[in-house]
Amino acid sequence: MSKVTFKITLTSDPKLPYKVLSVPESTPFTAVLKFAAEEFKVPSATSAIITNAYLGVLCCVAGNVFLKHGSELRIIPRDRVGGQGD
Amino acid sequence: MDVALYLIAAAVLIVLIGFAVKIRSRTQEAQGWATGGPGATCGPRQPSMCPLEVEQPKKVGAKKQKKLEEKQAKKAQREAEMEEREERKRMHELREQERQQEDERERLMEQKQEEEERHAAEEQERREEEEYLKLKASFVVEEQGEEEQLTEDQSRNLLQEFIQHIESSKVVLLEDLASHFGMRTQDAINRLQDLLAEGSLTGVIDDRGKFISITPEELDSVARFIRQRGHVSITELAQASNSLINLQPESRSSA
Repeated sequence: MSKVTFKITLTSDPKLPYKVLSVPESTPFTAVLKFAAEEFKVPSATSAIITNAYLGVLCCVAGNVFLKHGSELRIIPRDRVGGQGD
Repeated sequence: MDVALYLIAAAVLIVLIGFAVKIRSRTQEAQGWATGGPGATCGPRQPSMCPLEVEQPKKVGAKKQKKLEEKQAKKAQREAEMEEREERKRMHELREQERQQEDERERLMEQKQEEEERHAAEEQERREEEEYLKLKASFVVEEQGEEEQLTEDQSRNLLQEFIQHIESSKVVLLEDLASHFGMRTQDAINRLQDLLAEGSLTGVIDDRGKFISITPEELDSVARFIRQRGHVSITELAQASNSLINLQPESRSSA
């Protein structure tokens, strides 16, 4: 079973902590989000993962996300999705 | 003579009395019929059975009869209406009861359905949690840390470095520029266009994805050439530009 790697950064923290996660490519991306939220100790229900280009990641499995958006992702609080920015 | 007169008067009196009695008996019969109906037994032969009405005015005329009939009819109609009203009320109550029973049944059904949906949702959640825990076992955190933040000085210098790099390179591929500074290509193009607009940089972006940095002095020299020649073709201008504009990077030109 091949794996893909994502570097996920918590951008809501000024220190910009990141974690490099290695997950099987067939993993549903919702599980990756949940795991990343648990690792960063933020609630998964109110978090979302976006790319560096501020695109929301809505795709299905980890392999497809890696192919479409690359490995550099960000996790943000959900109320910031689609916001105007600071 | 007198005796004859007396006898005649007596006979006349007797006839008159008999006539009066006859009329009286007929009147009594008529009264009895009006109040007692066919069974009335009040008559001249049984005067003790007569009700007191017999003593009222004697005939029941057609008008009165009609009035009595109308009264009876109205009474019957009133009773029928009351009966109908009672019936309607009963039906309404019955329907109301049935409706309430129906509502109660529907409410119970909805409650049951909601309960089932809730159970199904809980079951689904539990299954998803189990699946997630199974998947989690295969997840690995390979590395973790904190991103390096640029200091204020570093961020100020970055722009100068950006401009310096372009000016010294003279001809630079936009993609190379973006990767050199860790930006997206489109972001690099946007920055470049902003710098061109505010005058921090002078040059042209060609249609092959390159930026050629031209100093103001070189631009002036090209302008002077065109003014001197007056009438100049594109070919001549291109040939002259090769000598007027230095396309060598600064590091190479100095070497």
